Amino acid sequence: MPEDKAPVVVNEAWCKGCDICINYCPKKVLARNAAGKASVVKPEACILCENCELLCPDFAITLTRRRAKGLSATSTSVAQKGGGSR
Amino acid sequence: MGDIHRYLREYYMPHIWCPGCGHGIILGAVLRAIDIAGLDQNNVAVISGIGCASRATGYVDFCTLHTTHGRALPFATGLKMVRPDMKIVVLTGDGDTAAIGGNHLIHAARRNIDITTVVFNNSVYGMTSGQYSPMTPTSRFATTAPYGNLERPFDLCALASAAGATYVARSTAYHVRQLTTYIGRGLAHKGFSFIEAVSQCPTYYGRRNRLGAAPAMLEWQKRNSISIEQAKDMEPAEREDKIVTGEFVNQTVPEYTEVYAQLIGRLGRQGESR
Ligand SMILES: Cc1ncc(C[n+]2csc(CCOP(=O)(O)OP(=O)(O)O)c2C)c(N)n1
Ligand code: SF4
Ligand code: SF4
Ligand code: SF4
Ligand SMILES: [Mg+2]
Repeated sequence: MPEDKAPVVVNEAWCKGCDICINYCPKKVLARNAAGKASVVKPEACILCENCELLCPDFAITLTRRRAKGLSATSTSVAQKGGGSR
Repeated sequence: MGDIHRYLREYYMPHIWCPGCGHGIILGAVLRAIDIAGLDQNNVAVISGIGCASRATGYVDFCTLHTTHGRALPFATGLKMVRPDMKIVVLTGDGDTAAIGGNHLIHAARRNIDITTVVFNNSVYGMTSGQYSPMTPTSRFATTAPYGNLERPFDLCALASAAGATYVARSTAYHVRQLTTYIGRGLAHKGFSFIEAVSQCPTYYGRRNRLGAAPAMLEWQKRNSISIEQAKDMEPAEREDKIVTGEFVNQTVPEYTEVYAQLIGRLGRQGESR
C-alpha cells in the first residue's frame, strides 16, 4: 500500500457512531463528524495499533497497512497494548 | 492477518445489532480466530439458536444454520456426527445456552463432542427487550427485575467444566485480543470447547443499570475483570462482582465422534469375520 493513503478507512455506511473507536484510539486519530460517524482527522498520528479495527462492533474500520511485525490480533488485551482509557 | 470481510455476507450489512453492541466485537474475534487458524471456509459450519447473539450466523459466509431457541448444540451434534470432518462452531447467547438450552449444554460437554461454543454473554435476553437471564448478576436490574434480580447467576465456565468440557475459557469484548486467542485455542482443541465472551447490551442492560454508553460499558468490563491468579488471592465476597478471565480447563480426553468411529470400525470388522 502507498504510504500517502490514510492508514485507516471508515466505512460510513456501516458505522453506527458508537464512539468506541474514538475512545480507544491512543492518538486521537479519529473523531465524530457532523453526520455522527467516525472519521479520520489526524491520519499522520496513527501508530497502526489496530485498537479501532478490533473493537469496532460494525466491521466499519479497516487498516490499509500493517506494522511489519504486525501486532497480532491475539495474545494481549487492549489495555496491555497501551490503548487504554481516557 | 487477512481481511476478515471475506468471511462476511456483506450484502446483509450493516447488521441489525444496536450501536455499540458487544456482539459485533465478539463476532470479529471469532472471524479473526478462524482466519488465523487457516480453516477452509467451506468446511466450517457455524450454528446458532435464537437471540441477538444468534443472529450472527446470518452475517457470516460459512455453512450456517440458524436454528431454534436453545437448540444450536443438538443441531451441531447431529451435523458433527454425520460430518466429523467439519469444523463446527456454535455461536449463542447467555439465554440461549444457560436458560432454554442449559440441558443441551451439559450433555454436549459430557460427551466431549468436538464443537467450539462461543457464548455471547450480555447478562440479559437482549432480543426480547431485556428480561433477566440465568446470567444476570444478583441485584442488577432487568425488564423483569425492576426491583433488582433476586436470583443468583450461574458461573457458566464452572458449569461447563463440571459437566465435562475439555477446553474452558472466559474473556470479554474489551479484551478482544485475549478473546481471539482463546477462541483460536478452542478451535484447535479436539473435544468440547467452551468460551464465554462477556458482551455489552447498551440498549437494555446498560440503560437499566445506568452503565452508560458502549465505551463506558467496555471500561466497566476492563475495571471489573481479574485473572484466575488474582482471583485466587481474593475472598469470595471481593470476587462477587468480578469477571474472572483466563483458561479454566485444557485437557485431552477421547472425543465422541472418534470413539463412535472406532466402534463402527470394530463392528464392521466383526461383521466381515463372521
Ligand atoms: C421456544 C422459544 N421460547 C422463547 C423465545 C423468545 N426468545 C427469543 S430470543 C430469547 C432470549 C435470547 O437471549 P440470549 O440468548 O441471551 O440472546 P441475546 O438476545 O441477549 O443476545 C427469547 C427468550 C423463542 N424465540 N423461542
Ligand atoms: S490503528 Fe490505533 S492509532 Fe491508528 S486510528 Fe486505529 S486506534 Fe488510532
Ligand atoms: S467503532 Fe465502528 S461503529 Fe463505532 S463509531 Fe467507530 S467506526 Fe463507527
Ligand atoms: S438489544 Fe442489546 S444485545 Fe440486542 S442488538 Fe441491541 S444492544 Fe445488542
Ligand atoms: Mg443475552
